[in-house]
Amino acid sequence: MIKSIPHERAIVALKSVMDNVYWLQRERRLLVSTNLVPGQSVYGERLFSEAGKEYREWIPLRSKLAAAIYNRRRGFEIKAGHSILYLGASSGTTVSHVSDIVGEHGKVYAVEVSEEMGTRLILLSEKRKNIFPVIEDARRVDVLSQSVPRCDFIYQDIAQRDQVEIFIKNADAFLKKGCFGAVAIKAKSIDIFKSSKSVIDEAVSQLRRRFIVAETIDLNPYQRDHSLVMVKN
Amino acid sequence: MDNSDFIKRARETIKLRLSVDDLIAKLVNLIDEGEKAENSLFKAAYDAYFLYYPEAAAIISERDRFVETLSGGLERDVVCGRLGTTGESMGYDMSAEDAQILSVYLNELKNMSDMRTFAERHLDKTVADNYPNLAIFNVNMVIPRLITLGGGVKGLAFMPSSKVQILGAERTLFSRPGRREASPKYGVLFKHPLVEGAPQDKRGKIAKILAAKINLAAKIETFSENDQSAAIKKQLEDEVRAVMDK
Repeated sequence: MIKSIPHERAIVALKSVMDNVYWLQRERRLLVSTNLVPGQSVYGERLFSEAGKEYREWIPLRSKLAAAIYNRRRGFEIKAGHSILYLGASSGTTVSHVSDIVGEHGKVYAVEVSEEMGTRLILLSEKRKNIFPVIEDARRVDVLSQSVPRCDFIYQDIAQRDQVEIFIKNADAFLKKGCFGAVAIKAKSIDIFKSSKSVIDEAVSQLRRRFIVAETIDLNPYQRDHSLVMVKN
Repeated sequence: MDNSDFIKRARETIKLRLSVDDLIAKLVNLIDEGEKAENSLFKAAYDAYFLYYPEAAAIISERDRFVETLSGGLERDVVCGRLGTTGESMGYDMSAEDAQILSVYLNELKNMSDMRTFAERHLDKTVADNYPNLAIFNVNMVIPRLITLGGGVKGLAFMPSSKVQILGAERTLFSRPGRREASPKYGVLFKHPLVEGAPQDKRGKIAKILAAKINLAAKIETFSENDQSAAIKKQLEDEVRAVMDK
């Protein structure tokens, strides 16, 4: 399903957010990323084509990274050609957009533990040559380090109680000095009884002991009780 | 660098992880969901039949009996002979065409019921072929359900037998106010005739023995793969008898 936008509006329509990611000014503001594999929609998202290039809609309700960009109003420190370690890749919804951003010279090491989601991830990586799937528990850094090198950015989206410890362990092993990482914290997975604010404050102070915490982004209203914490190594 | 190495390794990992336990879990899910669909279809079909012949429907309100009785034809003159009801009905007189529609649905219900029986039998066979030690406890799909809930036979082997005992009763276990009330005595294991058939005050003890033996059998399956089912069965019988005689 390819919808074309009218030509005269399209020229002023695209506004760059970060490498390969743009705001598309229509009736409402839409976040899009350049489609690495033109003609293919990964999870049923809309495609837009303009001036020989194709863009995929990046939906904030489905991706925490997109929600963070909507709320932050600017992009992240992910650039074309970077190596990204993605923990908790799931079926590859967000992974596909990260793979758009880093482009064909970049690499996305996508770690996922579940077989069912992992199967979908493998099928996706067969179409997108810059996704490197690893079916393994993100806690097992010793196993991961056999195949994953040091990376320019770590993104973590795993809803586990010890997710902050897992992130720190992986950052120690894989994050280059001076590079950034982002942790999507699902407060309700860490402690269902505490308020999400206190859970996130606790997680941030835990991260502060190891990193410089650059920013905490609340993902409301797109993802309830979620926050994205940006850290610098 | 190409990602084909990673894909190859990931594919191998997934292949290695999948086992007969996954098949068992999926089959249990299929059977359960099939039964749910069967029940809701039965409710609607029963209501429709009640409109046509309430006198007979009042007698055969139980699902399996309803399906069985009507599988040979649903017309009043056929059914009245089988059930001994009056041929004169106070229900709505359906035309042959209306009854035809109803009979199509009833036929479907019969198919679903047969399908479930077939799947259950196949599931029992799968367990017997793969896990001879566990198969001696397998009545009423107890073992496949435990395998599903416990995360495979290996999961069952690694858990304490008290957890095997209450698998399937998690909601009761965690919803006790303040956790001061007594914990549940059995979960899935209640479906085992030894527990279900025991007097009220001995069910807990028997569930405990049964759980211990299932745990033992799961350990044998995981670590030695010998068939020691006869010995376990004897132990189980002795211990159950000791409890029942007390």
